[in-house]
Amino acid sequence: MFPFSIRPDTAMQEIVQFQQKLTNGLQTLNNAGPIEVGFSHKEPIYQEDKMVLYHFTPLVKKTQRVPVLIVYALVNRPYMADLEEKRSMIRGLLQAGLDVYLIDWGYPDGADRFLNLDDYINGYIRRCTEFLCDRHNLYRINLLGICQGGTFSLCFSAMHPELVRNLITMVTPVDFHTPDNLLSHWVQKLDIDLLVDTLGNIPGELLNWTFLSMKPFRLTGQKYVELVDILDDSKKLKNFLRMEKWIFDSPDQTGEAFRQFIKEFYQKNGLIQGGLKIGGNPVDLKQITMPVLNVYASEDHLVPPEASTILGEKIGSDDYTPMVFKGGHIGIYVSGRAQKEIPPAISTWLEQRE
Amino acid sequence: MAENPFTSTDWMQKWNEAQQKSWNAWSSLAQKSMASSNQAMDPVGFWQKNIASQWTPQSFSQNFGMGHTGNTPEQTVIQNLFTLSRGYQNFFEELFKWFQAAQSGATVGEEWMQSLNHAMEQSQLFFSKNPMTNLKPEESGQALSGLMTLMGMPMDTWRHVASSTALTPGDMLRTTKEKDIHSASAMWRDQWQSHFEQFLSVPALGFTREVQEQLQEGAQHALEYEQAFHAYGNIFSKVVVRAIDLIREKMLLLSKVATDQEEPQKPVESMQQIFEIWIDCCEQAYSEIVVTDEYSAVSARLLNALMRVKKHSRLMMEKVLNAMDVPTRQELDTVYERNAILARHIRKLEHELKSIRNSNSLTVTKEIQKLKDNLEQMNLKSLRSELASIKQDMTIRSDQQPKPRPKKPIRQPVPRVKKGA
Repeated sequence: MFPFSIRPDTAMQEIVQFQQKLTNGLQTLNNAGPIEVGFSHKEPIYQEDKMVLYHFTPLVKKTQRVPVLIVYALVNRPYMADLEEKRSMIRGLLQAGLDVYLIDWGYPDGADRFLNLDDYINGYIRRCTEFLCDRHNLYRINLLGICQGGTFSLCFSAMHPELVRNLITMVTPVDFHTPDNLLSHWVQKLDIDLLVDTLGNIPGELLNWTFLSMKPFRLTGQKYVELVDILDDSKKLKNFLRMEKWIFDSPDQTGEAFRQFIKEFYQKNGLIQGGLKIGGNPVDLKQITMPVLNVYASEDHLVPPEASTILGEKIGSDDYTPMVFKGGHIGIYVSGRAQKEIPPAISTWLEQRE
Repeated sequence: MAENPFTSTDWMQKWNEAQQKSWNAWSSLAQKSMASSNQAMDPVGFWQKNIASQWTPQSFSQNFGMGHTGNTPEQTVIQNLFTLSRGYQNFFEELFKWFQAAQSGATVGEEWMQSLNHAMEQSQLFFSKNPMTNLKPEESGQALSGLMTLMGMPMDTWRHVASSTALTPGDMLRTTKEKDIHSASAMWRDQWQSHFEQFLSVPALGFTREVQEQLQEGAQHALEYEQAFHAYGNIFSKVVVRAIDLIREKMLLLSKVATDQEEPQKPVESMQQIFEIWIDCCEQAYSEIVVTDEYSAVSARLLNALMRVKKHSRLMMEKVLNAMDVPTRQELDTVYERNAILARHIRKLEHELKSIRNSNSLTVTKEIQKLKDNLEQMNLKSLRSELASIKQDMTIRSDQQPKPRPKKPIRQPVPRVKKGA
């Protein structure tokens, strides 16, 4: 029996409806207005070069005593964690009573070409941490690292455990050589030295192409066909456009930091194989002795779960808590369910260890 | 010349009016065609005659009063919208060809599937050829951007990436038509490549021998890039072939389920459902191939080759700029590197200075607090472990000790009563 039951006139009707939605959607697009991101109020309190340390205005009268510093990745902009009012992990943390700070790495240019991992981790992150310790009259603070920022936080905590009270990692790659890590598979034969020596800073467009290439038909085709169905809904359209802005708002990567990160982590898998050094300082995960909460996503195609869950057996802490979120790499921040699960869990976990 | 909607204030209204006219025209065409035809519908012929022939950039522009084609920003928006829609329809045009082939040979049983298989195999044969080498220019465009993709991904996206790394500003390949690229590439391959490769093996001579060698080296890098690009195109031909296999398996599965009375399956009734099936098949085919070592090697080779071309181009350019006394990227990089080293030294000194300055009560207070916390944690830990061991000892002892014998009740002496008292 023929499995398809489509008549040409119904097919044409479907196309006409598609065209109609597309045309009506132009009106909505025309009235969409500027795309605003970064919902929660924040103020800059410390700045170095292009790096800015922000403090989010608390939403409760009395926050937890020890503040939490969010270290985001270099490859995207941090406002993804604060995309809009009802999809903001940062708002959730504020409502849960945390005192939240965030490092915004900014947009590197040619003058930043020679910033390396030592500058980022033992430089910017350490000075931000020390600044917050002075500000709050503490000798250590809580650290929350997201994705590549989580990897940085692990390295920082291993090199400076005396500055970190509690460590939280979210969708953080630790083992870069798991079988289902597509990005790792692709870069093994890449001549990174040639790439960096030629380009200097790595363009954000190149990273965008790489990420799109992981699921090209869905991300460049199906997504935009499905867009036509929501073009007449201004609210859904704005949500789509915010996400779209974030996806393609990729800063350039400073050449030396990119070189080190790809070679030492993706190619040599330094955190697992050992021998990793940053600024001459050895990075040994066994030196991480503070309590650790590791949040990972079960359907993450960028950081497969196995790449993250191995952390528990590599660190030296006897207080390790894994937490799985059923969702993807982005859904862990923007889905409605994530807002209900993640921030309260983090707040409770920190409160028990204050 | 028709008024340009983008320069008038009510262009949206005109746009909607033009769309409405277009729908009405198509609807009446469909009604006429259905009413007048006494034979079985020819979906492909109907499509090609009434829809595909109307859906061209020229007719699209005229419908919206653009008047001419060109490279203005407005035309770019129109072109992108047109491409989105046209790509969607290209996919179904190809599908209708398959259906026509399936329905032309048989009406019942497995015979339609054999006809469909044959049509799909023809498509596979077409797409299995490298779009850069084995197809005519007008064919290769279809292979890369027709059935496979909506907007010419992935080759189109790679071209944008390659353009962004080029020495010339902007997206230099944006306005280049695909068939022109393939024409140039075909001419190069057929007429010039072998001569050029011979030329590159000639040793450099004379006063300008260094420059000659550099030019030869650059040309070799360019040749290597072209070969790497061809290899990349080959990989994507495999993706298409595999995707067609998957959709054939899917159709077979749907067909079997539809005839199985135990598990009745609703047939696919909309184009969007077929499109989603196609996307799933493409993604599955793609995911099977990109995890292979072959893909990893080919994609790395492509990027490495592009970088060699760019690096060499930059070096040649810098020689020219040096001769013109213009600052170069290499000089700037040297300045930036020294600046970064200097900044690190300064930060290190600042840190040491801060440590010295902060050896005061504030630091001492923090140290005392830190020691207190450590002591408290140590005491707590040791107390807890001591308590745990005491509990354990008590448990062990209570298990080991024999049960005490029940005590005899103490008998109180009965006072003796004196006789006669």
